[in-house]
Amino acid sequence: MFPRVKLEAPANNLYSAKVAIKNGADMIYAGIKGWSVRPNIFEMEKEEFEAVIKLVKKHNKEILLVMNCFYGSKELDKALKLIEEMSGKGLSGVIVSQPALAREIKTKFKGLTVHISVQSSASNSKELEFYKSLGIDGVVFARNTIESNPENIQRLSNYGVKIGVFIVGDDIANYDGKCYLSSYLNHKLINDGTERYSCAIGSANKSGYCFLMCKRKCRLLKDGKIQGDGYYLRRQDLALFNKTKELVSSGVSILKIQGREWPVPLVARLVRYMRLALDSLEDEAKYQKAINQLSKLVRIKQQIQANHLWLLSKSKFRIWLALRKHLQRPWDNLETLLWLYAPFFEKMRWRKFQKENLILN
Amino acid sequence: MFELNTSIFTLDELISTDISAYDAVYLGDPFCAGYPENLIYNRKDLEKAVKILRENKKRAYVSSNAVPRNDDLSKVKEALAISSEVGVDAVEAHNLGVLRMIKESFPKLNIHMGYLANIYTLATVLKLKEEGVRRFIANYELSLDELGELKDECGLEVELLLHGKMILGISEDCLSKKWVPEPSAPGNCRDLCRNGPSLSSQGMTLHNFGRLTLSGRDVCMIEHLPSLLEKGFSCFKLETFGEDREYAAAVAKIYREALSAAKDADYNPQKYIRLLEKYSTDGFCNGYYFSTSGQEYVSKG
Repeated sequence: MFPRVKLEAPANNLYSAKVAIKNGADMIYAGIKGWSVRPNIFEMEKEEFEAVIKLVKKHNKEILLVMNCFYGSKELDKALKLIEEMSGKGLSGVIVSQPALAREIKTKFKGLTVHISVQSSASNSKELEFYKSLGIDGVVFARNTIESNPENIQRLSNYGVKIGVFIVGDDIANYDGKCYLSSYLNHKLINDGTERYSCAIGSANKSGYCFLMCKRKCRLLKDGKIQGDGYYLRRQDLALFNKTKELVSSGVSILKIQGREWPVPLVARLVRYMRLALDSLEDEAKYQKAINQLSKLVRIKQQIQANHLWLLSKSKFRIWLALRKHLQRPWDNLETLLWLYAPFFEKMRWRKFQKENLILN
Repeated sequence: MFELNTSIFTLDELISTDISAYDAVYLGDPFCAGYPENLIYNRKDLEKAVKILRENKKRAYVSSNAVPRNDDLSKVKEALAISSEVGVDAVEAHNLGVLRMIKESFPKLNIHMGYLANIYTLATVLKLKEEGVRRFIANYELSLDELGELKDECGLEVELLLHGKMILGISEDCLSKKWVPEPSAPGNCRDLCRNGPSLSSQGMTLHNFGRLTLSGRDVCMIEHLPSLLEKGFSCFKLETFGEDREYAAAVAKIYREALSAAKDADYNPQKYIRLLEKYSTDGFCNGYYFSTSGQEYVSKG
């Protein structure tokens, strides 16, 4: 028998929350504009978030508010006020990065569960002990730190704190929360019209407008000689679904899917097949089918990422080249085609966002 | 009074560095446990290193693993035990788990909280103060104004990066080994780190040091020393790992002289800048101290 684990899915609007629940998510996580580590366009207005709370409660699921920026000293009170407001509406829990904020929430709002975000890069059992002493309910561990060794997870799960891992996620160069490449390129404080006084363009930790330096093409030099051009800071995408059985049996209690910035159809299918895998842990044939589907989805995700890359770039020629490359691909099915071009429809939003906020070189 | 400190990773480096201009040294490489002859894990070398520092009347701090995984914890504890026995002046922790370990098992050790602990707010600093932290380096993304406020309200020592390359990220594994195709024998691992590849993208340069990505430009605060001293900062770090030993010695001497002169009304940083320029390959920046992009240089003149 496998223990029951929770599947946590992202939502960037009411529709995506609806779809995620329909496909079998146990928990939804979402952010309010200005308060989480994502650009504004992947976050919601307060009113929409309230609607999401209502929807999730109706289906007897949990809704977590993502508050995982490293706020400045002056913003903490505003953050607490926001949490107070939302907890009155029926919020189930909060995801935070700062231990001090976590402790405040735990003492002020007894009914809320508090999870530590992957932004904190928790990586060992001593850290888990530290968070336990603050009364934290769950900790999402940094990528590639615990999953390689099931024994480790077993030891961790004895602490009485829920352990979460990202099962599908982006490739990133550095540990989450410990990367400042983007703000080195460009960093500017602006008033972004949200409740927070200001947000820092360029700093993922402070507000979420990251320039994705790790996904850009760069030139490698050694001893003054050019070694080549390429995506050197990219690494393999996080795809742990092959290990679902090991993770579940060794004591991971939350499996998280990244993707507030990914197209809704993609996330919906990731959730659906992940649900299928979790429900058929004892049925090998069904389980394998789900895993195969997930592998396929991750491959498609990589293509979408490539598209997102050229959306960030100014050069029209490169857009054309990327497009041509895809047109030469043999199509698996119509769905693939739609997903691949989903970013097209997001292009206008990206453009608007760029025009308003970003000054790219 | 002020303190100038730097990081030195191995005994050889310590011996070959002229540390006369420093007041304290952080010993050991916290970022890579596999760094050859890393002082953190090497009892004999650490004892010798601390002895050398004591003879020179310098304070000895020891770093600890920045992002330890579960498997590393026993090694970290052993290293802390060595530091405790050798009797160092403080240990530097970057990780909350390590902080807890020090508090539990080695309560007598002074604790400095490192830069990778992501300290952004007063609330976090106060929590760390409860845990027994004496000094901290706040996240580089904080501006001088914010740092000043933190310092005034928390009552702990605040350490600032004064000169050298900023750490812009730490990765799960060694990036140099991944990129450089030549087979790397265990011996040339250190050479690969010291003489690592660099990346250029979007018109900016990044250096690689094993698992770390470093800024191409050197943070240089020499023009702003008077205002730093005025705000009451007194602990300063010169980041010199991966650089020539000559650089480590020369930069410290320049800054020591400048810091002594900074209180004078006719402080002229230009001559120091000219000296520092000799040691910089990609130019200077001011990090995030003035709420600008990390790579910008804010000149007073």
